[in-house]
Formats: sequence, C-alpha cells, structure tokens
Amino acid sequence: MRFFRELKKGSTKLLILSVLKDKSMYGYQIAKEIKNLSKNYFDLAEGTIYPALHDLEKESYVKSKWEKYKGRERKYYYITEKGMEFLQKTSKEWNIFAKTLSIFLPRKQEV
Amino acid sequence: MNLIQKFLNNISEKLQLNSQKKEEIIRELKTHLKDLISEYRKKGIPMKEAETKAIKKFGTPEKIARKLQWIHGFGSFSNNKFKDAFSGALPFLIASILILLLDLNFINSTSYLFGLFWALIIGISIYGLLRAFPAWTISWLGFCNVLMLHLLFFAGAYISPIFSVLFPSLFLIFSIYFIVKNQFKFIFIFLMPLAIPYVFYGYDGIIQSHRILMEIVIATFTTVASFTILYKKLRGSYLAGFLGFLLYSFIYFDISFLAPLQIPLENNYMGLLPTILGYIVPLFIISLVPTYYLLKQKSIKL
Repeated sequence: MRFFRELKKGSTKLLILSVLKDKSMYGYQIAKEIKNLSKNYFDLAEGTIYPALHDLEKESYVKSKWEKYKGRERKYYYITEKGMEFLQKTSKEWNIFAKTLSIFLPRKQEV
Repeated sequence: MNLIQKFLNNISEKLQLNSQKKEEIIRELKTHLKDLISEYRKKGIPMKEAETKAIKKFGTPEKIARKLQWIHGFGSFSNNKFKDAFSGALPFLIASILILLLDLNFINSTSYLFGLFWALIIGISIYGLLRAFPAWTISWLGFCNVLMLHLLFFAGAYISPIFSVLFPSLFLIFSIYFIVKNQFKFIFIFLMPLAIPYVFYGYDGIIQSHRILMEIVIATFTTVASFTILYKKLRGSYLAGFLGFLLYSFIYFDISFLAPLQIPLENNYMGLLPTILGYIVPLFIISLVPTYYLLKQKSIKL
C-alpha cells in the first residue's frame, strides 16, 4: 500500500539513528540490525541506506570514520549529540502521534 | 570485469562529484556489496547468483546515483577549484563586456547579444539543475534573478500579473530558501547578480523610477546576510567573500566610482584598451575573488 510505503520511507533516518544510539555500526550492519529488530518488517533496499546515512552526516546527526575490523576496512557511523537530541525529540513526538492516532482508529475487534 | 565492478562503475559514471568524494562513496558501497555476497555464499548460493542477488538487493544504479548526487552534488567542486571559480565568475565577465559595449554605443539594449546572454544563463541554469547544481553553476542561477526582476519591474504592463509578479516572487523565495537550506555560503554568489539591473537598464532611464525599490531589495538582502554572518560568528574568507559582494554591489550601484578609470570612448578606438584594463578587469577581479574565496569554503549548515 502506498501509504505504508511512504511511511516506511519516511522512517528510514529515524530507524538508522535508533540503531546507532547504543553503538557505532557500518552500513551493512545497520541494514541487518533494522531487519532483525523489526522481524523482517523493515527490509530496506541496501541502496537507500547510504543516501540516508550521508544526509544524516551532512546534517551532523552522525559522524563517520573508516576503521579496520577483522582485516576489512569499513566505514563506521556514530550518532552525535545533535543526532541524539533529534532522536529523543522525534521519539517523543512520534509516541504522542501514535497514541493520539490510536484514539481515532477502530480497535481490532471492531474491524 | 565482474558484475559488481560493472555495477559500481555504472554508479560512478553517473555521479558528477570530485574524484575523492566519488572514490569514497564507491569504496563504501563495495564493502557493503562484499558483505552481502559473503552472506549469500554462506547460505550456499553460487558466486554468480550471489552477485546478482546482492546487486538486485541494492536497487538500480540510476536511483542510487540520483539520490547520492542530490546529497553531495549541491555546491560540489571539480578537482580544479580555480576552474570552478572562473566558470562561476564568467557570467559577470560577460555581463561586464555587454555593459561596456552598451556604454560605447556599439550595441543597444535590444541587441541580440542580450538575447544570447540570457539564453546562455537559462541553459546553464538548467544544466545545473540536472546535475544538482555544482558550485560553479550557482552564480549562473543567480543571474536568473535578474531576469526575474526584469519580469517583476518592467514587464507588468505587457503580461499577466501572474507571470510578472507571482512567478518571479515565487522563484526568488524558493531559490533563496533552497540555497540557504543547502549551503548558506552560496547565497552571496547567488545574490551578486542582483546589482546588475541598475547598470543594464539604468542607461535607458527605466530603472530610475524603481531605484528606491531596487535599493530596498539589495539593502534587505545585505542586512539579512550580515546579521546571519554575525549571528553564526563566521569569519575569515566568509567575511572576505561578503565584503567582496558588498563592494561589487556598491560599484555597480554607483558606476561613477569607476569613472576616473574610464576614458571618453565615443568613436575613439584607441581608448578601448585602457577602458578594458580600467573597467572590465577590475569588475571581473571583484567578481572572481569573492567567488573563489566562497567556493573554497567547506559547507556550512544553518
């Protein structure tokens, strides 16, 4: 459904920041983590992760650094203080939004 | 060449960024693709099939390149910043030459050369739009402001108010918002051409009636710019660029400032060289120096 497709697309940056809040990760790891945590609900096209990550970096919500892990170089992303603030603020807004929306939506047994 | 390399080359060709930035992006995408292939290989998928699957999971090269181009492309540089600065300052040079030719009565304001100039401005602005506005195209886009002001101030009597008022106003608001949102530093280059109409149309006496309005427009922009500079505590080359912009505007606004450098030229071809040296060269340098300094800066976000 177009509505959910757009909603998912709009959540990409928030999802990335959420998985980066506890530890730094590289692109592939971020994609995997989002997929696993969401039990396959968010299976992002790998190509969409990088424009989102680079945009977040441009907005100073994340920082990146090339590091070697098990002999392979990877670009790790870290959430910044600004990114953390944004995440907290947006999460708060999102919870209010979801809670308020649920007042209007019919419950499972009513559908 | 294997499938992965072909896929990455395809993205690389579509990205119009400097080689360093491009290499870093491709390097990052490559590590991701390798991880995906390893994952599929561990599941027992043959190499060829794993590569195809990984590429498919990534999405089309066109889509990836287009998105990355819009993130990194705005205000991007080639490997030669002087070339970028020169290309960025070129419309000012052409405008200066046209003004000189007008001044010498070699052409009049209805000359086809002006038509060619505007066609070039529009053409390069569209070229810039298709490539997410590399840095040097922003001053060309800035010249579209002059066209818009022309519509706003002079064309009202001939065409509908929608085209003469609404369209230019929307263009100015959106383009300024777009530039400030992306990279604030380009606002100076973008606004520099606004000083031009006075010279272009001043000789015909048309602009005199709008002079106060024009000055209010420029004064508002410079006030907002200087406030933002102070507010954001920008220093060094930004200030140099900003002062260049101010100087450039004032010189264009009061062209008589350059009068001592000019030699009366009517039917006096011997005076052409001193005029070129005393008139076009300073104007071009005034355009080039701030353009160069501004292009040299790293991006800054508001």
